[in-house]
Amino acid sequence: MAYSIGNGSPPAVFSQLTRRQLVQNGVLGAGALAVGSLGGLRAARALDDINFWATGTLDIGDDGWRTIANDSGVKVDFTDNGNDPGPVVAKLVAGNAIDIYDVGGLQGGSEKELARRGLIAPWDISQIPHYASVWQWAKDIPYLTHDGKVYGIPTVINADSMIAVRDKVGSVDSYGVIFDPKLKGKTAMEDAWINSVTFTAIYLKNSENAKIAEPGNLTADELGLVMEFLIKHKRDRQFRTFWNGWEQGLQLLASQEVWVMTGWEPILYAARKRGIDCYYAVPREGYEGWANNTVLLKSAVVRGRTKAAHQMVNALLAGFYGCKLGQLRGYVIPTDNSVAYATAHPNAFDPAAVRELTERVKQKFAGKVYWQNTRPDNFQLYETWWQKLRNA
Amino acid sequence: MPREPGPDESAGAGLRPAGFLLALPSLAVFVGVGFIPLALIATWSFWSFDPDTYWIKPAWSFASYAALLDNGRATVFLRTAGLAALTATASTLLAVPAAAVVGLLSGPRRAALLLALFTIPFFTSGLVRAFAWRLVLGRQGVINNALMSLGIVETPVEWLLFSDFAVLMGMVAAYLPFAIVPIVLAFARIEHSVIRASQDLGAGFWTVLATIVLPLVLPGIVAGFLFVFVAAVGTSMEVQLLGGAGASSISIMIDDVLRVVNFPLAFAIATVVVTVLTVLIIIANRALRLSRLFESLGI
Amino acid sequence: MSSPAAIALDHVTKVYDKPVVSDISLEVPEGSFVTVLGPSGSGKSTILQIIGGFLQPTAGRILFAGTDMTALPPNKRPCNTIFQDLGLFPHMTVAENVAYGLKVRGVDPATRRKCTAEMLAIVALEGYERRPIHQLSGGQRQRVALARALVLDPAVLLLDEPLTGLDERLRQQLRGEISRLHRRLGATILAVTHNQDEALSLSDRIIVLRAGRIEQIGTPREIFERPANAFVARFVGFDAILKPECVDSGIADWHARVAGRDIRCEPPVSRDPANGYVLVLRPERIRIAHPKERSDLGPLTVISTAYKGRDVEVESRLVDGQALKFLISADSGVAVPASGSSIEIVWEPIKPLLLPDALVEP
Repeated sequence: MAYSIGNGSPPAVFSQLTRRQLVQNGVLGAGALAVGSLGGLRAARALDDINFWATGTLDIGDDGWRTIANDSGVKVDFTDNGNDPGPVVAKLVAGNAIDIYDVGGLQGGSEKELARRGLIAPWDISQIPHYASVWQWAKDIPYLTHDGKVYGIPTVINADSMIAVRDKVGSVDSYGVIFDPKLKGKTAMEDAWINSVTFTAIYLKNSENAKIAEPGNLTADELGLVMEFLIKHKRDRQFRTFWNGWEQGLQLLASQEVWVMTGWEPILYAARKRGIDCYYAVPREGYEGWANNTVLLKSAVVRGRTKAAHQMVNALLAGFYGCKLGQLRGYVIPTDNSVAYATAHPNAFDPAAVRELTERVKQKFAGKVYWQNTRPDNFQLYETWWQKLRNA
Repeated sequence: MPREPGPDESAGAGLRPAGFLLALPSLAVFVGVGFIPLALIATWSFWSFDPDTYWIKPAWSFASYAALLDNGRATVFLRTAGLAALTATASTLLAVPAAAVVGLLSGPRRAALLLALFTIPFFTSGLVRAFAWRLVLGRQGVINNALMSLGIVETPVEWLLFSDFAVLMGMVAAYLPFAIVPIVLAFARIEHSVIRASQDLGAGFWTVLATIVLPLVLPGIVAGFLFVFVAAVGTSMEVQLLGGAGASSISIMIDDVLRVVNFPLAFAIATVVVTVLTVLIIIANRALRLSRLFESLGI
Repeated sequence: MSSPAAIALDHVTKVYDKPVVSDISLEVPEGSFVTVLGPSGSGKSTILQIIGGFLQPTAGRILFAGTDMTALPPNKRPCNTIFQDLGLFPHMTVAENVAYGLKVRGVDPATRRKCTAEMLAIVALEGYERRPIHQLSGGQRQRVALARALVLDPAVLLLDEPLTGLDERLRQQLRGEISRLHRRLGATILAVTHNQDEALSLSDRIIVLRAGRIEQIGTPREIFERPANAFVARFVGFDAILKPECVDSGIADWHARVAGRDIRCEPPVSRDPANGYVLVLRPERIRIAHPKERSDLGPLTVISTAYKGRDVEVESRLVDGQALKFLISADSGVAVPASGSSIEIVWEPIKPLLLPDALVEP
């Protein structure tokens, strides 16, 4: 799991790419792509059935989808897309995913590319009444729009920073501690350039006056600067390790191998449950924000499912889905409808808990936030540099 | 005068096409599951990525192979192979005495029990097993605690975890049974009378070991080494969980490359790995007739 | 005795849960061929393994040419064993197998080659030097095993069931081979077998073993003609055995009473046996009496007859209920009696032996 959504549930976290999966995804998957379209397999579906192809942690289970169907009239068939943007985009562009699925749920960043290729269609906001309730700053995430049209509707939103063990590092408010020689061998980052490069860029931009325009989308020069910085610190043995997956990150804190590290919020909660006095730092350089967005696959339009797709997305924003995801994974949907729904259904959800969760996220976004981007323009160059870092 | 076919010949002639037909399904499976995907991968490794289709387009380009030498990718190959060889060597050295006890000294029932014991670690997931090493090797792990309470060290030994050493430990523990099984088979194939005959002809313990036992189990040792080597070359889990910051292996590199949809490079890496491993196994099989090891299993 | 025996066992006992070898003492004279004959489970293989050094006796000593070597491991003993399944080295050629013992002893390569070539010539395997073992026939393998042991010129050669598991033709061929090697090389040989023919044809001396104890030691002729007791008798072919009602010692012959008939017997060698006497005869020496002929025993009721190729086996019962099996030659022209018919039998001029009854397990 290299990307920060999908961090809520431990089982999903354990689904790192194993070799077997690699073969399935990489080789056999590629074979399937080459063989071509196997579409039309589910052609017999009713027009108000929607195949929702999204990050696994967006699934709310059969009961949840039944409620959505009752409320909106749309029957949702959920499929995990594996979350990894490379294969997801490849299956949409070159594979048959476009023929099977109607709505995608993607970690933000690749919308522009998909729109440019004509693989996704813009949403008709007038058909999504609840879109009006989406917080403005969430609507303003740069990669949701293309040519002035809305291509992505933010479904889950959060801001990540770093987890610090209080009795070891005291109160910290800068990513600088991760690179502080006094903490040599006591810090960690995630083994994923998508997050670690972004965090480092946020730090260098704000605290070391590095010339970086957009930490989530570095130019070749900016990337070189960031990576040289990381390579230097790796050579100095600054990092104990780079963590892979949720449980591993948690264990690093629990065993006190690491005192401060960039990481997902669910790790923090789990660590606290284990009795570790740690906190999510409020970094003066800003958070790394991320959003998981729903996109309308062009083929759904061709197949006449536009209306149903809009109804489904509207249902996701209506409140129940937000409460359910909050309950299941601590996720927040960028609208006040969740709180309203919980207040109206106190037997199903605890209104106070939903409000607290929502407010916490809102508060984070009140400060400085840089957006995570799964598809920076130089994404292949990122991998090349990451390879250099691995071998440094 | 035209010669009439004898009864044997006609029977043989009748059997041959039938035998071929019988072999067809397994041949088809072999070609379909084994050969065709490999041939495709090898072919595609020479193609190039096409940003327009987000897939690959035909081209006879060595660019991906040239890229193997850039950005330290060659180092990943060498380091992975080196670590795998070290793992295989350590596993084999540990497996020989263990297999000797199982295969030579135990009766069939006890041997089966002991072999079953060696497979117990596989009841848990590899992830959990690798994870357990963190608890053993960490700063507050079992070993460091013992060392410190014995006063051998003042501060925890850092290189025990998140190091090549830790990866080696994790891999040896994970793949040792792969080495034990073929060596047990090799030991089990040694007739007791052969060892007795050698003692009877004047050989002492070490001479029996050097002139009889070792040559006879050598194919098993080589097979065990190869099994562990192949498994260790392909792993990423131990490296990710126990290695240092950003530690790499070939399959981690393939992951990285696939994530940025650089398919030709991923195919090139896979082609190199499969080719090298295949050549290794063919050479070992030719030299030592490893396949004979499995005759007794009826495979 | 002029020179000490090549091998001597001195009161050797081997106990596992119960004794398998009990207080055995025997000697194998230099240059002789001695066979330990016994059914399976009689302890003969245990004796061989004790001599070879693969088993330690619970009590007793093993002496080679008068020297106690009980405590020595197999590789330090001046004997070599041909194991039942040979134990040829599968990863070596014929020549490497034969030269193995020499190499282990540090013999120089030139001598090794010379000795190996000579020995392969003796066992008629010239030209097979570089053959791998798995390309040899069963008989060739046996000869490699012989060559491999004999090239070391062992003080004693131990053979464990040397001809078991071979087909009849090969068995005869190898029997001749072993016999020839024994005479030619003057080797001292101790063999164990359960096969009386093998023992009788090869040996200078036979030791009959039963349940870990020696029943009789003697030349093949002694064993064959004067078995010491009913067990040995049966083992060497005295299958017609009768339990007498009483036995009287006479002047020349002894007399026994069986089913009311008085039978003249050879005087017994051992007197007053614990379990009394039995009469033993070879079944092929018995024939059916002509109607007018004076019979030795009868009447008997024929229970069944079975055609056995050269012979017909007749199973019959005496009036006192004792069973008696005998053979009539199939080509003798004598009519095979019908089941249920009554017959009289003759064995004169042969007289039954009177032997101690030892058929009950001790």
